[in-house]
Amino acid sequence: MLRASDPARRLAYASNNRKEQAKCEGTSRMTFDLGLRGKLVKLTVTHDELGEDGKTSRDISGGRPIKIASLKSMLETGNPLPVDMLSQRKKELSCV
Amino acid sequence: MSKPEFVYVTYIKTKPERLWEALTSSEFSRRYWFGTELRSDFKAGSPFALVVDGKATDTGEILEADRPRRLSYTFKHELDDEMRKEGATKVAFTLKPHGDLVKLTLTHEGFAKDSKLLDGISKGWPAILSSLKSLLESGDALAIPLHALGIEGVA
Repeated sequence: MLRASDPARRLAYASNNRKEQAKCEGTSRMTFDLGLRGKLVKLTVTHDELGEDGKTSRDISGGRPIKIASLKSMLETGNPLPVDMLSQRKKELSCV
Repeated sequence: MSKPEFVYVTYIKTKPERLWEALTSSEFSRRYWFGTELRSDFKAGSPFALVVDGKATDTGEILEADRPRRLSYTFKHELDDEMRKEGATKVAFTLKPHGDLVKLTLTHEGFAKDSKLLDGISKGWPAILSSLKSLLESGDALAIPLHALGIEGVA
């Protein structure tokens, strides 16, 4: 569910952790803030309203940084990072 | 165990040895770290300093240097009066191979209550490490204007 959309500046949406073990943690909030810094864009990703059990927090801490790192590589070099996201995802799930 | 006050994780398409070189050599750091030179022999117990235009901005001591896996040092700011009074904090880099990538984790901890230094490094490290990733992957560091970071006490 979209919570906020301010094109080129802010995007926020509600996010459900679909993993069986974390379903009871309910809906969290993802926010992307984009700020100009000279010729660059500072991207701040905030994932909050996380469940108290900490399962969603643990899952995203394992998965978000590599996706954001790959996004940066793709925009700057034209190529995403050579990561198999599916096997990465399986690896995350296997850690549950 | 309490969590470090600052944690930054990124993935870089490079080799651990090259990333280690970038974290310990002025030839690299001048390009991605706002013209900063790294003064140390990077041996445990040795002094460490960040130097800009001949002036030491931050100083410390090497705690661990396990090439190319882990580097940590104490970190004390020297220029801003308020930040200098806060005393030494601890910086640690962990480099872990991840397929063709290296996972770089930076933790910075041990800050005083209501630390001004924590606010400063929280604005500085993301820009520095983002520029480091660009340099290693594309050959060009980022042209981030230092004043655009909005760090109080830093021009």
